Amino acid sequence: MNIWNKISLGRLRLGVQLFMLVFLLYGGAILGHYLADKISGTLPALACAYDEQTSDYCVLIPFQHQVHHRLGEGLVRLQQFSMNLIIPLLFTLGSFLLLFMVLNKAFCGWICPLGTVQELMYRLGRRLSRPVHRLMPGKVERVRPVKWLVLLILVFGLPLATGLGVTPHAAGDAFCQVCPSRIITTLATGNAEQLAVNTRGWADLAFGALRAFLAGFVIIAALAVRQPFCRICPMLALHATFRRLSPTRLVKRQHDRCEKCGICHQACPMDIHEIWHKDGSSAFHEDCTLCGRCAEYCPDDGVIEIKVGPLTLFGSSRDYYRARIKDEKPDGNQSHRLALRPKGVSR
Amino acid sequence: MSKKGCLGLILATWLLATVAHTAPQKTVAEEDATHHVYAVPEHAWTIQPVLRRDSGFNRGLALVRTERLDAAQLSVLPATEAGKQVIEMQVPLRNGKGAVRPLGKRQGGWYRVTARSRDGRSRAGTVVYFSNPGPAPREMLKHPLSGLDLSPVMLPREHRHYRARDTWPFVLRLNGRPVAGEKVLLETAGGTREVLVTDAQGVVEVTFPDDFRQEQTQAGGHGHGHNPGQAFVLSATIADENGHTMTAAFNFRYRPHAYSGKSLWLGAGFALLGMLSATPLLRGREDKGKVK
Repeated sequence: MNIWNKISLGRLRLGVQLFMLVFLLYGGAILGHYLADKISGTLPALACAYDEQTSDYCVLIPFQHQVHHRLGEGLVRLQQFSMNLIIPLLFTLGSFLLLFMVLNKAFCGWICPLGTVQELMYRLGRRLSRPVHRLMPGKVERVRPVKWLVLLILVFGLPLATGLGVTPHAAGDAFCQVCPSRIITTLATGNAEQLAVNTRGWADLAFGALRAFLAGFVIIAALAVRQPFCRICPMLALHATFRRLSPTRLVKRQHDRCEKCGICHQACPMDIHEIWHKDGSSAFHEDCTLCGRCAEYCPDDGVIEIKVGPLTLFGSSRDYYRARIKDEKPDGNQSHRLALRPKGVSR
Repeated sequence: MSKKGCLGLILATWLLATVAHTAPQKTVAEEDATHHVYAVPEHAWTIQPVLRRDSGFNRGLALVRTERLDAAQLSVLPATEAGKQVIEMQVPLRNGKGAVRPLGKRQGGWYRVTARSRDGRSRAGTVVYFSNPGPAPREMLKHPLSGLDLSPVMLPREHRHYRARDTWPFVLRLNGRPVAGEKVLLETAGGTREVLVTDAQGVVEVTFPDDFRQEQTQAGGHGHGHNPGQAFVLSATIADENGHTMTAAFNFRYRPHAYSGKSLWLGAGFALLGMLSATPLLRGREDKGKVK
């Protein structure tokens, strides 16, 4: 008996997301002041360290600090450069990998607080009957490299340059300076401090202004565009780099009807067209957040599966698809008891 | 990634490396100057015994020296996991200065440092932080010391500091037992002198005053606080049953308040601008997502 016929993967994911949102934003207040230090501090999701009640925080914080303070400053003082400066960086990377190995990119699709907030905003957009804007293959391919540039420049480049004494100190954690999660998650805890723009220097002012602008843009854009910030998030790039190392993965096998269907692509919040056109390992694209919507909305048995090693956690099935689409359309809009039937597909 | 994308990344890396290599770099002294968070000016504003940390680049070493205290050694308490025994380490003082090192290269976090006068009647205390992960300091702060002791109940965690207008609890204990109803004096380098009284649990809630000079609030613009802040000392003096007085002091630093040098209105304005920039998306025609 398939348990997924009784419970919806989408609802389970929403439940996990809401639980993790509360846990990550307020866990420190509930379970102890030092909880974030206790758990790891290397969470592969955007749980902000500027949230004073967070129960665990984003790996990008120690990454940037180590690149800035250890690597950059160590390079300046070459005579002191040693493995002592490199080991903490490797340790952070190792902790990240250990956590990442368990869930792979599901940290994005199931746990990241900013991802959850964007999804909730998109749901609100559906309630408000806002239009849906999708990124078609031409556009999506222009957006995809941005996350790599953000990773390279804001997470590694500017912190390193700051450590080398080239850029202002404010650039020492450049990504955190512009990350909208820093504002959105801390505002959710009633703290407006991160929204305030530092006016002491031009770099602080520029970073603060960009952060506030980006947070405002993401919140409103998420009403009509799925996961707008996720598409340029450096965490997605970091996950993508190591995604083949994890036993948790998305698997798709070729099916004759795939070519005319494409519902999986419509369901994908990251507009990954490869899930439709490709199969095998190519279908598990670097932008995939393992949300599982493609598998939920695939109307054929066992074509798309989420697997951990040899174990199938969830596999597409016709029965599940029929039940799911009565509740919600692939694009997230509410169904009106009419199943979406793509052109050229007869059931 | 496409070949063009890879090429772009390589070019960007090369450009960054070139700029980093050719741009004038700060000297070690200049760079250190921005990190002298603990370079405290003279404690002319207090007569209490204090422990000062001399800053240096070495992350695995804190040089702590005593002022107005004739002590032979420093007592160092590292943070330990719950249920494990807190092991007190002794560090000899030479010319009033002792070298505090973390337990192993990997254990960072908070360390509590105290020094007791040779006659046992005065104690100074502070905390030092080594920037590596370490256990939560709960057990360390609970650990009882003999004699009079004034210490924090809780310490700031990542991206948090003692700041003006914030309230933090401290506890006064005698031989590990809370001392109720005693006066605790708060003194700051900004000139504040305030007398507080411990409650039944020996706890005193300290709200740090907003007594920074304007030029101090302008120093260090970085969001997670490289403003050096200024020093404070909490102290209590009580008499024992023989009429001998005992003094305990705790000194550290606090920073300007959360919104110092920042504009919330400006931030809200930029956020609003971002929201307005996204509103065309809400009015636009729906893309049905037809893909060729």
